[in-house]
Amino acid sequence: MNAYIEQMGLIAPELVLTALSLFVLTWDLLKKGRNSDHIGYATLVGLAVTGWLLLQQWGMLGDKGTQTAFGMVTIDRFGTFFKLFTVGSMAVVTLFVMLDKNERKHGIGEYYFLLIGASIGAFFMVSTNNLLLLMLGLELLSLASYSLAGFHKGSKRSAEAALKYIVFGGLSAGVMLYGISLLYGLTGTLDLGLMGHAPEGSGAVSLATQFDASPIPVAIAVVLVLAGFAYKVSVVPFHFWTPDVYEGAPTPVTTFLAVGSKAAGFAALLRFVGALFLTDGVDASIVAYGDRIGFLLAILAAITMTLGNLSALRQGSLKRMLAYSSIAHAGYVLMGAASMTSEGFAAAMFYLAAYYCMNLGAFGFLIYFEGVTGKDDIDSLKGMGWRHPVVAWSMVVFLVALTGLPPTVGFYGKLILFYAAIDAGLAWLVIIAAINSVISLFYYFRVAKSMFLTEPVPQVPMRQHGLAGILCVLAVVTVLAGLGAFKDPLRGWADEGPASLEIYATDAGSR
Amino acid sequence: MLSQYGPILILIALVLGFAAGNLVISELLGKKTSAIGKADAYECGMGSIGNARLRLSIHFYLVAVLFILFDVESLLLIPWAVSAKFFEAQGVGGIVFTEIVGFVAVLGIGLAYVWNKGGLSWDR
Repeated sequence: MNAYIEQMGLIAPELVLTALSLFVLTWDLLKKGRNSDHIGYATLVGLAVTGWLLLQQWGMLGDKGTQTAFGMVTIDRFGTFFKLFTVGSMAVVTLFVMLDKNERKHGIGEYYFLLIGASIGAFFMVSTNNLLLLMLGLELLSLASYSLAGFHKGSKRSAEAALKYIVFGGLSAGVMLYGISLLYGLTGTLDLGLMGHAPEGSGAVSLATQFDASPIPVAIAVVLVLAGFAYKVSVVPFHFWTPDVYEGAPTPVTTFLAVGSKAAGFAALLRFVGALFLTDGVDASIVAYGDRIGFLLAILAAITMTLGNLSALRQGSLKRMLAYSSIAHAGYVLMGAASMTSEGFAAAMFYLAAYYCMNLGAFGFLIYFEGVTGKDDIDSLKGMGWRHPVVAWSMVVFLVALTGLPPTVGFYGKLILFYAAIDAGLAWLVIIAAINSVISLFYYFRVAKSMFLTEPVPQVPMRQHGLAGILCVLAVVTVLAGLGAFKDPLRGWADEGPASLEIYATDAGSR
Repeated sequence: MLSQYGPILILIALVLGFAAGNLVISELLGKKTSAIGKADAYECGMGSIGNARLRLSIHFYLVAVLFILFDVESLLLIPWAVSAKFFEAQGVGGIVFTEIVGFVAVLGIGLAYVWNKGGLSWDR
């Protein structure tokens, strides 16, 4: 009985979120859609409680190390890091929904319910070693995202986005499940830890043993599962849904897809690769194969960032440009996974944290801009810099960070990613990434040029002080997080992640 | 290990060969007649009426989804009821009962939601 309560305590943040989602739905039902702002405040309070519980958990994990609940949920600092940022981005997205003038206030209970449901899926996805629970979490996240993408029922584009998303999502979930079933057939377990290293008497066969016997089925299974993750984080051969879904979905939902959903996908990908190829006790033969998977990821990273950036150059719509830019950023983060070292994983986690700040800001600007003009093309930005200086300057900060220029957190994130990749012997990838950063400078600053260097077009002046305030705060965070006093603790938290996955802290070139 | 799949490959080859062989043989040896009736989708029975791509009321889908919701509920409740005595003997009866109450409560909220939104009335 006590053990049961203790294990329920470990998943308390998830339980709070579940209760919150049911509360929000019921309240909206009782209120019949009136007082929609109160539901937003209730959501914020629930998210704050969840965040507080996660901080407690972070401290507890430092004392006790990794914990397991019900043999399924792995509570470690790696997962908690991502959960904290998911809650943070959820809170910002909730504020966006509350302040978005274009957002239909009808059915707002379902809106929050689905958003919270998506975060519950993300929570379980980032904190499990069990492929079954990982798949369930991924599906919960995906199903909520499909409905959210099509939330504006009357809009043709929204419906198109939902349909494209569900077709791509269903296909890649099938591909991934096939890979998982092969892995299960090969090893006799769904636990990633046992797949990496199966002790005597565990009843499982480690993947390395199977790889020695017959490498082809192992290779097929691993690549199929990676394809499922690649879809979730929109890495290039699986990126086709991204621009259309991001464009058609309501903008706050796009924000969540670009930030929360993508980070959860990366967390699961890092955990999968780490557990199979990099943890303590993994056999030598599979480590060599892991280096080949790392090379595959490096090639995908190079293609993803190049294609994402080149496509972003040609976009007239700010929303589509940000969609392609998020594909390009998936390529940068993938560099960290491709380097196959604990430094690379920590760098990927740090970069994702930076990505949270700057992308939340950029999408927040988009919501503000859509509220002012009702359009999303870059040409309509003319004169924003003179009419809405605070918001425009915040956007300039986000653009600087997205390009990766100092003194922002984006610069430092890219710097440690590049260091990790060079240490792993991927100098060619770093050169491609650096060239890509220069390309991205061009299209990011096209936005700034349109805001400041062109004559203002006459438009109805409309002020949204709340949204402008949030953007200011995010801009300040984006700059501060790149400076020593805040950057170093953040880096320390990111370094905890690979450590809690028990990944070797390798010296350069020893592997 | 791959060689274990040899028999399956042989089976696939046999199945494909049998199907293709039958088609080829009937093409070579069969009598060829052509009549209007041959072109029908069904050679016997009623002729088809109208287009297959009808617009159906969304209520059909709604009913199907709701059926799944409550079907899964009863599917889980039956094995739970059968094994409840076992769990009580293990001394975890209270926990197991609380869990199933929570499960039914969540589904109950779902039912209340559907009812309130008019999903259960046919003519809305």
